[in-house]
Amino acid sequence: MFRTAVRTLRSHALHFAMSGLAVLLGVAFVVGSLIYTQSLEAAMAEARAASRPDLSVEVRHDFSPSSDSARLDEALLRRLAALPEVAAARGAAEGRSFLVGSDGTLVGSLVDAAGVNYVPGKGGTDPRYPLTAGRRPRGDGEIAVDAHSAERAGYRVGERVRIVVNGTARAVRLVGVFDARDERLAADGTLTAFDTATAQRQFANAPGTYTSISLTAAPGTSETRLAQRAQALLPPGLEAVTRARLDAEAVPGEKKLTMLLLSFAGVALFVSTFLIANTFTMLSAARAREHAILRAIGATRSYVTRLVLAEAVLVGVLASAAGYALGVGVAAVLNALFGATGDVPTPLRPFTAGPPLAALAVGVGVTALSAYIPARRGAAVPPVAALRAERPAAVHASHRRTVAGLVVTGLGAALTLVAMDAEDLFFAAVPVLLVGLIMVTSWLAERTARLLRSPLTRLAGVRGTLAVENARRNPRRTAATATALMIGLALVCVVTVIASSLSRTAERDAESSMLTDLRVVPVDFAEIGDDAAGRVAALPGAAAVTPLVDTSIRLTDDGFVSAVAVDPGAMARLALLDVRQGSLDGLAHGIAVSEQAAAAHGWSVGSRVTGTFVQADRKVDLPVVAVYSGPEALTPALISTASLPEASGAVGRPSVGSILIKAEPGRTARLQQDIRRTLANPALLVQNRDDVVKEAVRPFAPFLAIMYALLSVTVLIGALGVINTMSMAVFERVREIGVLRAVGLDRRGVRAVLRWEAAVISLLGAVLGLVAGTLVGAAVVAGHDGALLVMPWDRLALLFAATLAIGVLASTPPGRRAARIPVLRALRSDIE
Amino acid sequence: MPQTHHRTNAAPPCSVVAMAEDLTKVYGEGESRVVALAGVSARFLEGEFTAIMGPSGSGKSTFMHCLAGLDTPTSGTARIADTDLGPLDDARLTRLRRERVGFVFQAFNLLPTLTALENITLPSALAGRSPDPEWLRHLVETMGIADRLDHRPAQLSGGQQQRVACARALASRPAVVFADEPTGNLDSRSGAEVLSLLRSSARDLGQTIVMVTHDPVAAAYADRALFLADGRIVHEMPEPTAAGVLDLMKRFDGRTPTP
Repeated sequence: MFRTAVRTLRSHALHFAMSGLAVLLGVAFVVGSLIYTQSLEAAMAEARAASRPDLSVEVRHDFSPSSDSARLDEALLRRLAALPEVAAARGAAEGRSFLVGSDGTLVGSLVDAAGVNYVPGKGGTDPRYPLTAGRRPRGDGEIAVDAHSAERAGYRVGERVRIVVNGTARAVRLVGVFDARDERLAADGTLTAFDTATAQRQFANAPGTYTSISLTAAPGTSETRLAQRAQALLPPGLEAVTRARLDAEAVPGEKKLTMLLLSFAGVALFVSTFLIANTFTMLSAARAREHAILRAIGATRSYVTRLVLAEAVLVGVLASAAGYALGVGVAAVLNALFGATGDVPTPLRPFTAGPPLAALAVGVGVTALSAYIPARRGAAVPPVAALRAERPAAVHASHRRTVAGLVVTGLGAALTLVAMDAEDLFFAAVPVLLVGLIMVTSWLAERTARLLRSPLTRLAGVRGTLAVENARRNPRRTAATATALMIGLALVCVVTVIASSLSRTAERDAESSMLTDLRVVPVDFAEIGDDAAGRVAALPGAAAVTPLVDTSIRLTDDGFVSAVAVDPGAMARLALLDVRQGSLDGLAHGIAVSEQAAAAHGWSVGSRVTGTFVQADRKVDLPVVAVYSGPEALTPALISTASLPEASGAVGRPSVGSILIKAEPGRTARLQQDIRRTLANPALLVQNRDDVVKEAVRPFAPFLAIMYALLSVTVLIGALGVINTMSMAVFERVREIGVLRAVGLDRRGVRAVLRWEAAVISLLGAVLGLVAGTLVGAAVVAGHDGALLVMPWDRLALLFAATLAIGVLASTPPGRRAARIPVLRALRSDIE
Repeated sequence: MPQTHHRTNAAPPCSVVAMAEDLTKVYGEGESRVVALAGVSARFLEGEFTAIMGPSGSGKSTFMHCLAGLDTPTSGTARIADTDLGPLDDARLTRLRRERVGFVFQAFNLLPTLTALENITLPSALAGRSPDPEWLRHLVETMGIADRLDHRPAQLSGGQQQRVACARALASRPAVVFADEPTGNLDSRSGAEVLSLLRSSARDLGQTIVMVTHDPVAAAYADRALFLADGRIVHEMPEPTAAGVLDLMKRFDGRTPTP
C-alpha cells in the first residue's frame, strides 16, 4: 500500500506541496518552541545545579509575622557550624545591587542584579568566586564583580565605577574580577561582591546579621537530616530549607512561555488542517475514477480510505522531518526574539528526545486527521457513479450544517457576552464562536458570491462574472480557504483591539496619576533612596517636594488601612487635596483620611487611628486631623514621613514609591535636568508629564510586535491555503482555461480571472475575520474593569487590506502557471 | 426553422477569407520526429463551407489549429482575412481569435458556470463589446435556443449545447468559423440539426466555415471536401456526397493504411 502511496505522492508532488509546507511550518513552530523552552529550562537547571555547589541546606527568614525580629547573626552561624552534621557554614548577606556601565546605563537584567558578600576562605579567596584579577573587596568603597559583567560594563580593575544600592547611586573602586557559576548570571544578571560588613549594612535587617546562612552537609548526612537538625536550633521566624526544595521553588517562568508559544503553534496547525482537507478532497475527486476501478475490481471501501490515509501519513512524515530541521532554526529565532534583552544566548539543545517525537506525532497526526474525512468521503463514491465520465459535482453547503453552524455561532456570541463578566470564559467562547463561523462559512460563501456577482461583473466585466462563479462552484473549498485567512486575521484583530485599548487606558491612567510637574519613580526592581527627596528639595527651582511612601496599618479594631506617608509642608504647598473637614496643618503629628475611608471606618476629625505598621510591626496611634477628597494616588489616608517607623534594615522596610515635585513657574525643564544630575542614578526616572505618558505606553508596541510575529505564521499558512486552492482550481479547470483562451481571453485575462476569484475568497475571510476579531477584542476590553475601549480603525483597516492583498497576491503563482498552459494542450486535456 | 432575413450569396464569390500556403508542422527531433503537415496550401472563400477529411493521423486537426491561430506552423503562411498569423505574438493572436475566428468543438466546451446567453456573448464580452442585439436575437432564434438562454450547460441536452456553441462561434460575425468534429459527441438526429444550421449559416449568412470531420455524412453537408493524408492534401471534392466520400475514403484506406 505504501508503494502505491509513494507513487501517488510523486505524481502529485505539486498538489501535496502546499499541504506539506503548511504542516512543515506548524511542526517547525512546535519544535522550535519546544527546543527553545526546553533549552532555556535545561540551561537554568544546569546553572542552578552548578551555582552554590556546596549548599545542602539554607537557613532563612520564613516570612511569618515574627520573621523580621528573628536574627540571623554570628552567634547562630557559630552554633550551626558546630553541628556534627555540618561540614561548613557560611553567612550570606545578599540583596539587589545594580552596576552602572561606563555608558551610564544599568548593566544586565535588573531582576537578577545581585549584591553578595565576599567570604574569604583559605588563602583569602571565596571558593564560590575565584578571582581572575585584582583582590578581594575591603570596606564600603570597594567592590569586585563577575568577569562577564565587568566586560559588558567596560570596566577594568582599579577603575572608579558607579553602583546603585538601596535606591542610591555611589562611586566605588573596582578592585577585583572573579569567575562565578551562578543561576543569576545564567539569567543575564550581575554579581557585585562587597566585604561582609558592607553587605550586611546594605542588605540585612540589622547590623551584624545575615540574610541567609548556607550549610554544607558532612559526608554521609542527607540534606533532609541536616535540615531537621538545623531547624531544631532555630528561633521562631527562621526555617531550614533543603537544596531540593530551593530548586523546586525556583519557579520555571518558562512553563508559561511554553504554553504561550505552543498555543500559537496550535492555531497555526489548526489553520493548516483546512488546507490539507482541501487538498485531499480535491485529489479524491480527481481520482474518483481510479478509486472506482479499484472498487470495481474488488477493493473494499476501507482499503481505499486506507490508501488515501497512507498518502497522508507519508506527507506527514516528510513534512515532520523537514519541519524538525526548520524548527531548530525557529528555536534560534525565538532565542533571539525573547532573549533580545540580554546578550547571553541560551545554548540550544536540538537533539533531545522530546521535540523529534512531538514533531512526528503532530505532523503525522494533523495530516492524517485532516485527510480522514475527505478520504472516507472519496471512498464512499459508488463505483458506478465514479466510472461515469462526469466528475462528481462539488458538495454544496448542507442546510443542516448551516443551521447547526448558526446555532453554534449564536452560542459563541452569547458566551462572549457572558465572558465580559467572567474573563476565563473567553477561552471557551472564542473557539466556539470560530467553530460556528467555520460551519456557516460555506453557506456564507455561496451567499457572498451571489451578492458579489453583479458588482464584480460591473467592475471587471465577464472576467469578474467568471471569477465569482468559480468561487461559488465549490463553496466548501472556498469556505475552508476563507476560514484559514479568517482565523489569522481574527486573532490579529483581537490582539490589536486589546493592545490599543489597554495602551490608551494606560495613557489615561498615567495622565490622571501625574499630579505635579515632575516626578521621580524607580525603574522596575529598583527603589528610591531615602535621602533622594531631601536632595531634590534642596535644589533651586523646587517649589514643593514630597516623597510618597506606601505603608499599611493593621487596625486595632480589625481590618487594614493603607496610608501614604508624605512631607506635610510640601503637601500643603502642592494643594492637591480638597479638605472637607479639619486642616492639614496638624498632619505632622496626625493622620488625614479620605471621605470614603472616614465613612467606612466611622472616623471624623478628632477620632484616633490605632494599630501597627504592617511592614515594621511597630505601634501607631494618631489623631485624625482632616477629612479630604483627592486623587487616587493620595488615598485613602495620609500620614507624615516623620510618623513612619525607623528603618529597621533592608527587609520589609516601607520604601519611597515615588517623589512628587512642583517646580517654580517656568523652571520645570531646568529643574528636571538638575534632578537628573543630582541623583545621578540611572535606576531612577525623572519624568515630566509627557515622559510619564510615553513610559506608560512604551511596553505595548513591542508586545504587539511579538504577537504579530507569532501570528504571522498563521497568516502565512492562510496565504498558502489560497495558493493551494487556486492551484487546485487551475488543475481542475485546465480545459476551461483552454476554451477561454481559444475564444479570446489573453494571458493577462487568465491571471485576472484567478486574481478576482482569490479576491472574492479573501474578501470573505477578511470580512469574517475583521468582524469576529473586532467583536471579541471589544468584548474582552469591555469585560476588563476600568479599561477604555478604543477601536484602532485605521490599523484595523490596514490589517483588513493587508489580508485582502495577501490573498490576492497568493493567486499570482497559480495564475502565472495557468497563463502559461498552451491553449491546445489545455483544450485536449481531460483531468487525469 | 424560421428565417427572418436572407443574405443568399451576398458576398462576391471570389473573396478569400482564409488561406494556407505551404504549411508544414514538424513535432519532435531525430528518432521521434513526426511530420504532421508536409506542405499544405488551401484557400477558403467567403460563404464557403469546407469539410476537411482524412483518417486519424492525417494532419487534419493540426492543419485547422495552425490556420486558426491555436498552433504555430513550423514553416509556411497562414492568413485570416488580410492578417498573416506568422508574426503575431500571443496577445495579438488572442485578439485575432476573439475578433475574427469562431470555434465549435467536439466536446461543446461551454463554460459550466455561465448561462447559455453568457456563453454566447463571451467572446464579445472578453473584447469589452456588447453584441448587436438584432443579430443576437436572429442567431438564437435560428439555433432554436431562444427559450434556453437562462439555462446552464448542465441543464441542456448535447444538441442544445452544441447549438449554443454554434451561436457563440457566430455571434461576433467572425471571418471564419472552425468546427472540430462538431457532431462527434451527438446522436445522429442532433448531429443533423447542427450540420444543417452550419450549412444554412454559410449559405444564408455568408459565413465561411471550415469543419474537420471523419464522418462522410457530415462532409456531405459541406460545399466541398479536402482530403488529407500523411500531411498533404491528396484530393479535393466539390459538392461532396456521403457515398462519394465513403468511396474515396475506402480507396485511401486501401492505399495508405493508417498507422
